[in-house]
Amino acid sequence: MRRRFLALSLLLLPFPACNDAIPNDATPNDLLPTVALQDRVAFVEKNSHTAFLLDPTDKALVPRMVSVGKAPIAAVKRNGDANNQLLVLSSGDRGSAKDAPVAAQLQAIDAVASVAPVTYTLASPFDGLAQSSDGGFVVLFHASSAQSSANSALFNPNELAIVNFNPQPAGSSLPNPYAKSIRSFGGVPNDVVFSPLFTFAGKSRTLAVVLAENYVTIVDLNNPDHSEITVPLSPDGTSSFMPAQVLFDSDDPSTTANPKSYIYIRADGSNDIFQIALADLGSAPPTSSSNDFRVSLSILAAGTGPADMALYGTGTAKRLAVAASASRTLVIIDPSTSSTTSVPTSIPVNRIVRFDTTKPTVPTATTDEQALLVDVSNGSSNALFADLHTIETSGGIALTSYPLGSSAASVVPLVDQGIAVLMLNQYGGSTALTVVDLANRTFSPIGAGGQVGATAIETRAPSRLWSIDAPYGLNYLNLVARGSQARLATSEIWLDQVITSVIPFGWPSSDKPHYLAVGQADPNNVGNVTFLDADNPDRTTARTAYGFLLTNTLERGQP
Amino acid sequence: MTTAKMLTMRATCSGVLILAAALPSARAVAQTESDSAPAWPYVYQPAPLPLPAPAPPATPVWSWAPSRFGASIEIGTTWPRDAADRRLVGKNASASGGLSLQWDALRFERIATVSLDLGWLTSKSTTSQDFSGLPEDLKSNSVFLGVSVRHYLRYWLAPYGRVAGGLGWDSLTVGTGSGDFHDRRAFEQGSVGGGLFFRSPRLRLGASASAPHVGLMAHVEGGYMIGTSSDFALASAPANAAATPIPTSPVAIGKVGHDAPYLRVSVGLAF
Repeated sequence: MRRRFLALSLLLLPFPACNDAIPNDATPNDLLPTVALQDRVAFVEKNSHTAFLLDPTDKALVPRMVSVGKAPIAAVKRNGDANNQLLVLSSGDRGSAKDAPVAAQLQAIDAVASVAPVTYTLASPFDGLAQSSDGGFVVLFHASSAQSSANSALFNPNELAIVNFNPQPAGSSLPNPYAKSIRSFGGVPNDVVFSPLFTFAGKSRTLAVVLAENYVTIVDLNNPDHSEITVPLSPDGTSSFMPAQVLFDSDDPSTTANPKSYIYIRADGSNDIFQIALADLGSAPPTSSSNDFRVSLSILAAGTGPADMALYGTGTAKRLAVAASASRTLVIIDPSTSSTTSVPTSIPVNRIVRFDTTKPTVPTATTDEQALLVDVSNGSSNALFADLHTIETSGGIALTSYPLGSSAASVVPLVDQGIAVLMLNQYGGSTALTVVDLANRTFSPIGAGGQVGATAIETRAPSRLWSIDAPYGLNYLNLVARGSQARLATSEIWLDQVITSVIPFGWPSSDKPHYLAVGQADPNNVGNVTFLDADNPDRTTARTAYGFLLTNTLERGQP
Repeated sequence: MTTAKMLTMRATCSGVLILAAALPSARAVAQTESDSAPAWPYVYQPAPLPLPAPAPPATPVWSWAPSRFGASIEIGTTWPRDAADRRLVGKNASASGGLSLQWDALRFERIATVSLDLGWLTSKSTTSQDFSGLPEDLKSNSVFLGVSVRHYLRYWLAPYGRVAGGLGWDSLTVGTGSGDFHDRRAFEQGSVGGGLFFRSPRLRLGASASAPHVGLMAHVEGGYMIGTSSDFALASAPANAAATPIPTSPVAIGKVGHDAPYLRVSVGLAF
């Protein structure tokens, strides 16, 4: 008996007082690109399909968590100043014999918690999302990338889903989203662009132009049940034209008897500009599925290798300026007559920044159409100013060349603030960027000791440029004067952790405090962001939300 | 935690403390009786039970006389009721280990022996975070004071009932390296249980009557424990050289409850 007792005691002694379970196969957090709303910043985590909205005015920086659809693949801010919403597109789950399928969905999450999210169930797992500039329409499509996915399920790559955020007209029985399959000429949608408001049959319309190789498709978003209009760009099919740029224009109804609307399309691989005229039929269509406008296609010669285009002028003076990069010409096209004027340029121009200047002449001020012409691809170290209002008569005299000191890598036009920012390639010089005063045609170089890190430019006035001075520094530059702070004044703030990104909020111009989200190194993928007062950056008012993706993990369901 | 649960737990703790305060006078009586009374068995022992045969005068001297003190090591298992607790421990049960001291404070002849025990339990769980894949280390420690009443059925066997209360603290670490997160939370805990007490005859370590003696003892106990929740708010201090670092907001990850059935086994020495 005693021996058994002793044996039991000895057996119990080595039992560990711990419970080292084998780590499970949990996957690290996987975030979609950060989305800046007007006053919040949103992070969408794929595995837990949860959106985390951080409000920088919340002292505790507790994220608001909103469950989104399964397998989120895109998150964007809804366009329009009035729309402070996050749009999340989820592809759902096909399911299996054991698990029920989960439908794809688009979810609109308002920044304000009291507004319930709105979910639109989709018939197909789209992965492309495009929205109109006012945020009134969203068109979902199968992006070309989906064609190469490993998913073997059948799908129609030319299927669209049209989501209408506008109030439905009385009596409308159209479903929302509206599923629409467009005809194909052998291609698939590559992108979707939206027109401004056009007027047909006395009603405002928003058109979607679906871009595909060698053709475009025009869809009346206000009447999605109407037939789509397919416009071939290469009727013989022997060429490969990929639409790259779309401009919209309308005749002034006060000066034109039969005003038309126009769509101009520049396509990679084509030396022509495609002009699609939309004529208002002026009355109800003959059948319920017909459109109340008619289209006609014109082809405008535009030199060799058109790389950018811009419209200017009004009425009969309306012109289309096309930068023909390969032929080093600026082609001015009269869309009404198709007549062209080619002006040689000293650089292969591939970006046109249109702006107007106002001259105080008597008796009324006059507006001069001008443009800044830049090469961002071929290493030219000059930029050109063009007097567009005189270029057809004066030719090359209307062009003025200005040295940059280095070649430009990109252009950020801030025309409403009278400037453009040229980010330069730093092959040798110390100039990192140049701020161009468009009206005065002055170039203000901004230097840097080395290669400039990632930059972000606030697009709202007054704009400020933020640049990462790796690893801990954050430089900022006043692109325009703001309050007591001079134009082009630079300053710097140091943070505690490695800076990975700068995310300006998409705020509207208002008197509310403005914030800046600074992404910080996050090797554990738990979320790491620091908020700064965007107007007066200061360490003493900065706060960091580190690990916010772990919020409430113990009480959440399994991912 | 419900109000009823809180009241029950606090009543348990309070009862333990009241008993502890009331014991010194009784202890004096018990000690006096113990010193003057004849050796085991007590007068209340059933007559049929014969005394063990007297030990031979030569050492070692074995005796069934009761020991007053005990020191044990123990292991235990709990089955957490709280989902967050189960998630942190990674499975449906968690193990713990610790030490305890026992003192037979009162002996009521023919009826029962009242013991006080003071113990410490510790446990450690390592799992992987569901949402991030980060390692999670949960260390729990608790100190408790218990009161048990046991009744001998045999010299070596006594069932008993026990209430205990105490304080504990959870320490949670998520992640590794300089960017890991920490939090430590205290909680109150109480338990009610019952089990069996085993003991061996004690061995006198010398020839004289006052020589120390030692024996083996063991407990097997089951019951239910309740406790307040640990509301974790993880904080991290990423490595930096700033004298005044930018403040980092703690992250509330949820509450961990401590209600659970338990089973504990201890072995130790009685003296």
